[in-house]
Amino acid sequence: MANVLESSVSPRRIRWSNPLRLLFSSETWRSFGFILLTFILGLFWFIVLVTLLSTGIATVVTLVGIPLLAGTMLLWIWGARVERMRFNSMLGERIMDPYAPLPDGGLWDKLKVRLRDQHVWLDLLYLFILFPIGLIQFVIAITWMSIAFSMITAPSWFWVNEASSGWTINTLPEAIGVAMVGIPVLLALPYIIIGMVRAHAWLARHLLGSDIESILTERVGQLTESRSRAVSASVDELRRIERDLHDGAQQRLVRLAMDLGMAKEKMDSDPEAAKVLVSDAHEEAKLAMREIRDLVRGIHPAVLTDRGLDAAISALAGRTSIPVTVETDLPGRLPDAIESTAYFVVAEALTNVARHSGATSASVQARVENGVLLLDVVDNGRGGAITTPSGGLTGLADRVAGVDGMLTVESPVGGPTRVHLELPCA
Amino acid sequence: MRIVIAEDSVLLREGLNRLVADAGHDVVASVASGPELVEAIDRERPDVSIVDVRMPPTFRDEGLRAAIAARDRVPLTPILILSQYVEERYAGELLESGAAGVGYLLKDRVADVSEFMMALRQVAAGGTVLDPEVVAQLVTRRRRDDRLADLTPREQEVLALIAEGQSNTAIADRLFIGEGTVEKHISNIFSKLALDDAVTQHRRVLAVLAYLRG
Repeated sequence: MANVLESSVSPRRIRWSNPLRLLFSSETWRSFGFILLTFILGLFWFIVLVTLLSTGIATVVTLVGIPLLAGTMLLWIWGARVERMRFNSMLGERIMDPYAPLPDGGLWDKLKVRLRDQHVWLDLLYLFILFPIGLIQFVIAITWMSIAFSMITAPSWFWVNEASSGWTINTLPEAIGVAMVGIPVLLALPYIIIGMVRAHAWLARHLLGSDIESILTERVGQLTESRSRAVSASVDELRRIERDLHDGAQQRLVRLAMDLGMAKEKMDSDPEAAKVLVSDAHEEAKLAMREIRDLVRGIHPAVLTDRGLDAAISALAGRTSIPVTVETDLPGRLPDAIESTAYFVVAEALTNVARHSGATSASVQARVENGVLLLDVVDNGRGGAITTPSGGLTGLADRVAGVDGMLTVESPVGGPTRVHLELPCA
Repeated sequence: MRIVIAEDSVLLREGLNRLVADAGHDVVASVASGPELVEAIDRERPDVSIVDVRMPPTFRDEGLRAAIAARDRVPLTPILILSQYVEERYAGELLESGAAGVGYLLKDRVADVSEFMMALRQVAAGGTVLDPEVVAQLVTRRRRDDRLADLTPREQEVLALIAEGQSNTAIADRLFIGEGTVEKHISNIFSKLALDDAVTQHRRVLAVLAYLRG
């Protein structure tokens, strides 16, 4: 489950274990080129942005400043995009463009969206620190390279003239010794270069990319879990319906048919007994009807489909044995999944109130704020309600999680008990 | 009586036909959808129509809407709605179209033939008949009302029976008390709820329903 979203494009893997091959591998030299380019681009962006921004800020009071700053922003957004492309083409390091698509509308609308987007500012930050990063990398890489080459080539220098190449080398054996030490220094070079570039890439991923992948990974995990819970909840539900039908209405109908069958036999011989049997059958039939009606209403209440949550909640309240006040402030109809989830939470909560709480009154409040349905069922009962793993509200919590909602039950001993539901309606 | 039946299930439509024919009434039209019902009522001007809530094409509240539309076209044409479920909200919508000559009962009530036929006659006579389930919902919703809390349990029972559309005689039989006692309860109820004590049974039902629906 952990690696559902394993990065589809990872940097080309090289064999770290073979220093000699690494020295001649393309990645080393691509990385080296990358460092050179980083240095040049870093310098470029630093100069350009400092110039433009200071000019823009200085002239912001005049009419020139604003469009200049806006233009600068577009420039650095483009610059950041070039950086992403550079990582992709030179290193195979895919950095996702973090920007949401721009809305339709005027220039000002688009600008507003960008100004509110933190990625714009992260891009700017990245382009600014590109200069120090490039400088440091460039200095380290070039220095290391020069040291390694001069050490390896020490014997040849010694051969040509007895001058030194920075070190004081007096004898040939010393020169050879230096060269021997130079070999590991040279072999370490690719590790240094690649290491620096990878560190840079890591930073770029965090500044230039979006965290969308980690968000998605987490989301998939959540969804997988809630899906499996939802599936098992619906299997349980079906099992319950099957059992209710089998134990209730089905048995009653069998009994009804038996009574009617016997009545038919006795019709001529014993009309009085037949009458009793028929009236028993009549009662059985009415009971079976009521059982099936309650069961079907429990599966999905017609009033919810026809009239929405408001009407369905007040129907529930009307059927509860204690007085229930209903206050709703809902903007018309909500999505089906939201309505039915909310309905079943209220139904379960009110059933619990009537059965266990000892309450004399309860209230249901529902409203939508900022696209979230907020629903409370409060009673004045004795409290101390516990949610057992097999309890009705626990099953509902899974259902609520399935539509990204949240269900909380507060029930201190002595009451009041408050069932609180939040469901995003978007 | 001349009766129109609107019910999309063949089984039940035939059953209802047999039931009312057995009682000596004429089924002048039996239809299976909302638009057909409006048309049939307009054409036949029946004494009463028996209408199922769920009918094609929507299988939702088609019957209820058709009933309201029919009463728009033929004002106060008596209609008895049958439903698998009764909800106070539907009752409210039906009563909006004028509470005289409407009935709203659970389908199950058809099984008690004589009570059902009585309800049918009452609706045809311009009365109001509501299922006890609907009345229970209405009363529960209003129970926080102080004035309702002032009623004795017995008075509350009587109130619910009035709201269902029961006559004084029927209430007396149901509660095993004399009609005089029922009268006394009723006048108490009306003074406690500050309602005008209506003389006729129909108007009394309307007053109580208007009160319960707030």
